[in-house]
Amino acid sequence: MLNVELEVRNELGIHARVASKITRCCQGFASRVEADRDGKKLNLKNVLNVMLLNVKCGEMLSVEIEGEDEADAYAALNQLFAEKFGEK
Amino acid sequence: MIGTGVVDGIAIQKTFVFVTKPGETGASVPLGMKEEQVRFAEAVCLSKSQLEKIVDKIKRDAGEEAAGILEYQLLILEDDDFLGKIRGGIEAGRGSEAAVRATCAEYAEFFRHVDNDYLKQRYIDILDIQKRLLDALNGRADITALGREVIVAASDLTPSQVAGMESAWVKGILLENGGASSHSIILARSLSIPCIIGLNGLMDSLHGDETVIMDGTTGEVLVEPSDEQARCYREKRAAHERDKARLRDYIKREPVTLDGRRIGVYANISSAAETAPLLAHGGEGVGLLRTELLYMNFEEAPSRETQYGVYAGIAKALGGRPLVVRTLDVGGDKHIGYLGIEPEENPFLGYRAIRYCLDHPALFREQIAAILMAADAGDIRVMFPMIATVDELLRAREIVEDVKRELAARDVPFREIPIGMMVEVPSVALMAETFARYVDFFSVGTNDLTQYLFAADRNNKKVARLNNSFHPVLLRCVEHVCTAARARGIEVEICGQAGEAPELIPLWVAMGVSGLSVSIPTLPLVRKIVCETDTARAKRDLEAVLVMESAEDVARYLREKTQENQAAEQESGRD
Repeated sequence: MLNVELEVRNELGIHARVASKITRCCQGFASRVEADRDGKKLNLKNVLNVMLLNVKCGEMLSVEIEGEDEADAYAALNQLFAEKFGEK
Repeated sequence: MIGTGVVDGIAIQKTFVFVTKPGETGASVPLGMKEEQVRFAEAVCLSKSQLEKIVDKIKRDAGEEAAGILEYQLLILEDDDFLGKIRGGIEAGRGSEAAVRATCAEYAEFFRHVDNDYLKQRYIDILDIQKRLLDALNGRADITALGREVIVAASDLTPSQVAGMESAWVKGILLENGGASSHSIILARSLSIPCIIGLNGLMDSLHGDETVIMDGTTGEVLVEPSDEQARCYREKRAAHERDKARLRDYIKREPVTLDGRRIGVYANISSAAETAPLLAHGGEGVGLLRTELLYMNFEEAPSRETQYGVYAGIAKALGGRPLVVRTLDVGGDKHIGYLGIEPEENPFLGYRAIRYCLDHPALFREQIAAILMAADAGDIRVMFPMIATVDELLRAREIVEDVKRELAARDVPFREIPIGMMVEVPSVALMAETFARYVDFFSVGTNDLTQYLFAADRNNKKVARLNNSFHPVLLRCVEHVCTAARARGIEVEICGQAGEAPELIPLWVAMGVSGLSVSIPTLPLVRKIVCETDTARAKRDLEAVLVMESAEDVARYLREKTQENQAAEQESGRD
């Protein structure tokens, strides 16, 4: 199991299109991907959870990834966040 | 499985099971939990395929980025937490609609309470999804969005559900219930979608995606047919297509009887979309424009401008051919939520059509004004449905006069148009002489007239057999109406299904009708029968059948006569 911190670096923070990208990315892996928000575990394969995380630019997201392909899932997510989801 | 074939044609296709509640909005009593689960699953599936199709189109037309919000909405329909909550509601005994509303309300609240102005606004997606799901649940969904050819199976379909279908995708309709002359079936016929009704146990035996063969002529349904059966039906279908091709010659040929009588061959339609097929099938105009669907397509009564646009549009498309507009015939099996007509025990005997309109003059006047204004665009006529007394007719006429005064006072252009009425209540048929004094034409609605003559609901399959338009009583009624009309010099048209029954057409001609208004696919056949009719011979047949005792006797007699005539023609052809 991996516990990682991801920084949201795009100007607009997580909005609908970004949430869709994160969700699609997570759905691409067998691993369980959950975010920790105020002590609640939220499945990031469900888009409404990603939206309701309410993460703004500059904020960190604690994510727990567990499963056979957890390393690949982390690499993909890390890249997505690092590239600012293809935005500014 | 075997039912009653009501629209001809053979289809071989995968099924799409359409689970809807009887009635319209289905907001009230939930069905069993299992059925609700299936309904909800189907609604999600349908909503997703609709969205996928829209997303694809936007991506093609406007690029990846533009489809963002809709792709997000598509993901909501895959959100297990969201769907799980709705499913939980259904398991707790709620109807699908109630469960969808409750969960969507919950999520909309989440969004509204987030301390983020952008997210606060995104509750709107939840409302969008709610609407899409509710629409899908109630069959208001556009079945075209399925993007594949299907045979639709349902317990019953409302006229607006059928209207929402695109004949390009829907290759057939199978109904567990439904009556042969219900408006849903009439529409299916207009769209040339093969249809079978009265299929007992249909909804229990189909789950969707089975391959099915249906024959709308015989009423046969084969589920998961063998290769041999499928091959046999494909051949039958090809033969059916060849028959249709043979009739094509008559589309151009003038519908004149052997003895030179010109009969108008018109079509019954409900929407502007039908004008193109009407012309392609040889329709000489519209003998009946049903305006109910226009009202059903809106959340409130369409304005006079909207209606004007529709009527004028159809008149223009017809290029000077006649267009008979029937004023709103709400009630019976046509329910329009916003009009606030309470459910009744006997809707066909209840508050419907002109009865409702005379009590709601504001609504009625809007329609009359739109029809008068549109008259400039072509040969438009108006007629009133369900007139039962002279008083109703005179009141309706007075409203027309009053609307004319209003339009004249406001300098709105309009035209004087012929005013007619439907003959569909027995009281009118019996007193046709009196009614003929006050109208410019009669149009006999044989479907309603038959059901009222026999006091047999045409949508109730247990009594459907009573509604037989070959019965001498219907023929006598129409004969009487024609005699009364002739005495006053006004014209009679037939606009019910009996008007397209090949064996009956010569009888209508013998009675002296001036036109037949039929469903679009039968136009070529009707034209052919008119061309082959000999009025003198038909008059002798009419005399013979009017004194018969039963529909069966009439049908047998006419069948034998047809065979005799065909044999005689072949004989003479050989000489």
